[in-house]
Amino acid sequence: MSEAATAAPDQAPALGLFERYLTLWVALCIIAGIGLGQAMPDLFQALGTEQWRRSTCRLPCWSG
Amino acid sequence: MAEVNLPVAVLVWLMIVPMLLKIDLAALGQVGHHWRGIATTVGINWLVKPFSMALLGWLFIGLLFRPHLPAGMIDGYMAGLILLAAAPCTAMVFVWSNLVEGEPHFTLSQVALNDTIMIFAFAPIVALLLGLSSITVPWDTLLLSVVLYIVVPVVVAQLWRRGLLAKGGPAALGRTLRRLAPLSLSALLLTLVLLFGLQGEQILRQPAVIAMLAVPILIQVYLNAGLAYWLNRRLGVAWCVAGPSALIGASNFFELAVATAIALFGFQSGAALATVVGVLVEVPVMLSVVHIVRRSRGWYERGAFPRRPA
Repeated sequence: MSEAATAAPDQAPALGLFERYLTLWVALCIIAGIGLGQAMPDLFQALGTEQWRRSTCRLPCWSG
Repeated sequence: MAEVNLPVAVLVWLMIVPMLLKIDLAALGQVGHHWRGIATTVGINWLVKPFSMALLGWLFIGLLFRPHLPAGMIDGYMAGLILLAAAPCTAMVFVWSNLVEGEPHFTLSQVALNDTIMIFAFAPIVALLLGLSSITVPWDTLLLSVVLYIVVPVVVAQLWRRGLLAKGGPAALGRTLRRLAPLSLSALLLTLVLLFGLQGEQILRQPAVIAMLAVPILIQVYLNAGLAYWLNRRLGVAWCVAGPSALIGASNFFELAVATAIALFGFQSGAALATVVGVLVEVPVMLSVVHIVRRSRGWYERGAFPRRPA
C-alpha cells in the first residue's frame, strides 16, 4: 500500500542523479553518437542505414 | 513500406512502459475531469502549432537566414519544418509525461485523441500550409507507429500490471517501477547515441545549415510548451496535467514528418533534412522542457487556482 502510494517519489534517486548532470549526459551522448557513427559506420549501418535506402526511412522506427 | 528498426523499437518500449504500467484502465473514465487541460492541448496542437511553425519557418529560413542558405533548398526546408509541426507526438510523450510526474491517464487519453484527430486533420493542414492541392499521407507509417508504440505496449503493460498486482499487490508494482526507472533513462540516453550515430554525418557535413534549421524548431518548442503551460495555469488545471499538456503541445510526430517529406520531396530534399533536424533536437529540447516544468511547480501552483480551488 505505502509503496504504491509513493511510487513516484521512489523514482527520485535515479532521476536525481540523472537530472543533476543532465546537460552533461546529453552532451556526452551526442558526442559519443557522432563519434561512434564516424568510427564505426558499419555498426550503425546495420542498425539503421539499410532501411534508409530500402524503405521509407531509417527513422520511422523512432517515435516522436 | 515502413519497416521496424528493432533496436530503436526496443529502446522506445523500455522508455514508455513505466508510464503505461501506471495506467489503471478503470480510472480512464475519469479523465473527463481534465477537460480544460484536454481542450488546451488540442487547441495548441491543432490551432496554434502548425501555424506558428509556418510563421517561424518563413521568418527565419525564408527571410533572416536566406542569404546564408543554399538558394534552391529554401522552399524544401520550410516544407520540412511545416511537416514536422503538422502532427503531435505519439510515444515519446509518455516518457516526458512520466519524467514530469504527469497524470498518466490524461497523457494516454490525450495521445489517443490526438491520433484520432490526426487521421482527419493532418492532410488538410499540410496541404493548406504547403499550398498543395493534395498530399500523400504515409498511412502505413501512421498505422505502424500507433500499433507499435501505443496498442502493443498498452496491452503488454496492462497484462504485466495485472500479473504484478495479482502476485504482490501494489508493493510489487512499486518495486517494478523503481527497478525500471534507471533502465528507462538509460534507454533514453542510448537512443540519443543511436540517433546521433545515424545522423551525425549530416551535422559534420553541413553544421551551419543544421544549426540554422534548429533555430525555428527550438523557438517553436518553447513557444508552444510555454503557451500551453501558461494557459493551463490560467484555467486552473492541476500541475500534473499541465506538465504533460505542455510537452504534448510542443511535441512533433517525427516518423510521420520524415516519411511524408520523403514521399513528397525525396530522400535528398531539403524537406527531409529539416525533419531530421527535428529528430536530433527532440531529446535535448524536450528534456529541457521537462526540467523547466519540474522546477516551476511552485510558481505554477501559486497561481493555478485563481477562481476555483481544487
